[in-house]
Amino acid sequence: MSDTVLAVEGLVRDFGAFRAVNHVDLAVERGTIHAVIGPNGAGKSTLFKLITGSLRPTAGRVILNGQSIGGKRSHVIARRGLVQVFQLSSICGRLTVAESVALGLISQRHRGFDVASTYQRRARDEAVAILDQVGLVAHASSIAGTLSHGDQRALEIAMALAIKPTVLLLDEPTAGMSPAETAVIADLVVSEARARGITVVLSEHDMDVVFGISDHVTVLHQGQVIAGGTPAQVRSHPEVMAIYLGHAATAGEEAP
Amino acid sequence: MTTLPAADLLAAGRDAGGSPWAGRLRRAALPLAFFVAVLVLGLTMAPANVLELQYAVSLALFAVATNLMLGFGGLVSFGQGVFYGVGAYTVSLGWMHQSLSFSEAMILAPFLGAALAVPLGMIALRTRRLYFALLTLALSQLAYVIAENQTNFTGGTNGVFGAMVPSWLLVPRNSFLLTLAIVTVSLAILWKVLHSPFGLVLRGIRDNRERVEALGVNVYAHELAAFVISGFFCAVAGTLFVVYSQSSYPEIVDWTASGIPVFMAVIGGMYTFFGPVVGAFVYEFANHYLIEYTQDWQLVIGVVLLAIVLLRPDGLAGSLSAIGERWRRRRDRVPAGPPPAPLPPEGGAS
Amino acid sequence: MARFLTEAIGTLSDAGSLFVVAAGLTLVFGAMRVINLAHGSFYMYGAFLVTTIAGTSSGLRFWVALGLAAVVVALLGAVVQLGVVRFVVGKEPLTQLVATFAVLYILADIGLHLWGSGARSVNAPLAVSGTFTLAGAYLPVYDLVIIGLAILVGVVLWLLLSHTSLGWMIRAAVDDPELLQAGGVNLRRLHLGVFAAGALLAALAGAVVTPQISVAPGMDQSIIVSSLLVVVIGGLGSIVGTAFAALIIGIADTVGTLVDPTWASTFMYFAVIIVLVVRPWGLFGTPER
Ligand SMILES: Nc1ncnc2c1ncn2[C@@H]1O[C@H](COP(=O)(O)OP(=O)(O)OP(=O)(O)O)[C@@H](O)[C@H]1O
Ligand SMILES: [Mg+2]
Repeated sequence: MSDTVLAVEGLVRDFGAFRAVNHVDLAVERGTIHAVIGPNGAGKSTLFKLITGSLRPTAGRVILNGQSIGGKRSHVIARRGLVQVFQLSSICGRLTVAESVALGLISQRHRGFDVASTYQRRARDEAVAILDQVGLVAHASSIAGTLSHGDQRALEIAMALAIKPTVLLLDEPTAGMSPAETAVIADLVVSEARARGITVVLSEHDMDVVFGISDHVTVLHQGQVIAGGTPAQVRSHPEVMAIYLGHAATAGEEAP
Repeated sequence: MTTLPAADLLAAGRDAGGSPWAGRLRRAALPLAFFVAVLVLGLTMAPANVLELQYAVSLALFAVATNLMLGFGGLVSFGQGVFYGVGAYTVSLGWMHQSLSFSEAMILAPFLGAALAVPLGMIALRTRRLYFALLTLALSQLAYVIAENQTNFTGGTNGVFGAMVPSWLLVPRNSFLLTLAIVTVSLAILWKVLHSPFGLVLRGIRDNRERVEALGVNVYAHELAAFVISGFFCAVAGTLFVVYSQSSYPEIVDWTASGIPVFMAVIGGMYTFFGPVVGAFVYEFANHYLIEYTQDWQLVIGVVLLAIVLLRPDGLAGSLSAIGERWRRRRDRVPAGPPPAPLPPEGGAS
Repeated sequence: MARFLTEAIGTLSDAGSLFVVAAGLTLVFGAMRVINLAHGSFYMYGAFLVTTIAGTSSGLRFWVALGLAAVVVALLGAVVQLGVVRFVVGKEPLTQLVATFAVLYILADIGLHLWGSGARSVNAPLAVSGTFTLAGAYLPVYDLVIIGLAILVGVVLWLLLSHTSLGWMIRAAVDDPELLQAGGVNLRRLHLGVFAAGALLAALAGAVVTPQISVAPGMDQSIIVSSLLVVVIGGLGSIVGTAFAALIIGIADTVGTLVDPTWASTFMYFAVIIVLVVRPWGLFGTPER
């Protein structure tokens, strides 16, 4: 019984003469963790940006919950329940940690144009509850820009969770993290996905994380899907082995 | 990682040590003291100086209204003079063409400013960053050439001078009190707006527009709202220029005039609410006294601006609050109790 | 026809001098991503220096003054770069605008001390003054000098930027500064040179228009506005765009004057608004992202 929450059909993106994403098809089952892997420059970030509308596709469709979201503005797509955490850490540096999460709550409750209440302060309880889940509660009053890299990534996930997404897109959530931090984020992703039924699509270079937490793996190479299936299937796929054995050294160095 | 229970954290939040009312009062103390000082000064000073104080008060509103976009929205506009001009010219042209009474014009002007901000904002906000700054600069200059050349309607280069305010406002103290009242109410409203969910969204956009958009916020619409609110209050400030000078002329809308509230915000500190107020007072009094004592006021202001923007980018208020913060931290370290120490960064983060 | 020729030559000459100033502004932006609001001050200093050096002579001395003014202002540009602008490279637009505006104020005040607040004028050398006739129209010879200079500047800049390694370095200074420095290029010196060259262009334009205008304080602020309009329409950093945009502004101004003198000066602003509504990053610019 399949229940596809997010489908990508024939997605293409050209940068000038260079084709970064080449006829990619993807079907993501509701409630699963779906990893997209591939060597540097495979087109993972480009694919994610096409899905969330921050880049326009050259061709192809993106379907969320049965409705096409191609060409929609990114805030509209986010409203429909598809939220992205970018590859490069991207926070609001002068807000406090609690305010950052409150921002998501305000957006989710459609209170952005509320100029007269102090809802953002009342939202603090709820923000703290979310921060508790990602392990940032002790930093609630800190300025977001002063957090460590790992904490900033966790904060980004907390901000995304605040708007109660149906699909969460994580572009290399553990890049640049220590093994300890990586483990925290991986646990977080799994527990959020399972507890709230959130579908997670993530790109990741750390193969332990990929094979440890995902239900389904898609392999991208030079903009094309070359393999897909359960972690076990993908791991034994000859083409994938060829690429990853060839790139073994680089793939290992990706996540120091 | 040690995590504090949520309840402890709330207690350790901003209003630590005391009831929320005590915290609120402590935060309001400085602005309140400032207000009282201005009021007392205005009621006791010589009439000529009262006028200068009144002008500084009205510029404070202009600076805060501009800073709504600059420091809180991250939008560098060199075009707020347009709305200031709408305010001033609505009152003076209403008088010149005998179409509006003074009080009608005072009430209408802010709404005209806001209404004009809708189309101008829709155009200007299509551009980003530097292009936005330069396009708003062009809008300001456009307003200037219109004011300068449509002589029959605007009075042209000479502008409009005359008995455009009711006679009771010719008494310096009355005029000062009206200005102070309007500015205080306006600032209170702006304070409320900036400390609302909208204000938080605006600061989020300032810090990271893409991130906020990815959280489902229509950034363009929020920026437009900020532009319109700013236009409204810049126009209020413009009407107060007429109360101060009984005139309007093209130079109040050109791009250098539009730059002045920006400079005030930068001098005072654009990341705090009251920074631009401080900046407006410093700028206006410096300007006033420099013109009296030296020909080189441009030189002095230029050097001050350079020094602040290169050495103290958070402005005077930013520097003061940094000093206050350091002092508070030193004081808070003394009493024994649960240490509020932030956790050290997780080990091994590369 | 005669009427058309007169207007056309006048427009080209205005557009020409505007192009030379704006080219300096856009060159600096292209190499270091700084918009210099004091650029108009260099233009004004160029003009005033010519009035000082050439005096009332209408001979060779004018040409000497032209060259000398440009060189002196280039040195002034170097001073401004070293004293102020180098600290704002890579900073927020606001910081750059406020800092360079402060320089505008400071230079304006120093200019008042040097040349006073009155207006001055200069005569063009006899060889290039007066008019010539073409198809029944009497056309100022001096307009041809300005047009010639603009073409020369345009061609030299274009060759320099797109056909030499220096041009490659200037472009790479923004796109890939690390690569450039790894290749042994001194980025600071490159910035210094480009900024001085930008100042030189502004001064050259200010100097060359002196016979046609009255030289007075305040011309720094008015020229910077038109040059900003030009570089914004053209797309910041693009020399070709600047040339097109200078023509657009020149034509808008001429057409405006012919259509309705009271609205004439608004035409160029509407041109800017229309261009930016259609292409928010200018004709030849690239979107900021
Ligand atoms: N804006 C752009 N303009 C031109 N080329 C681009 C652009 N963005 C990405 N590319 C190219 O598209 C290709 C795919 O890039 P992308 O960032 O999607 O790869 P990735 O799989 O995310 O790599 P990584 O693992 O390093 O993050 C790369 O070759 C990149 O150079
Ligand atoms: Mg990537």
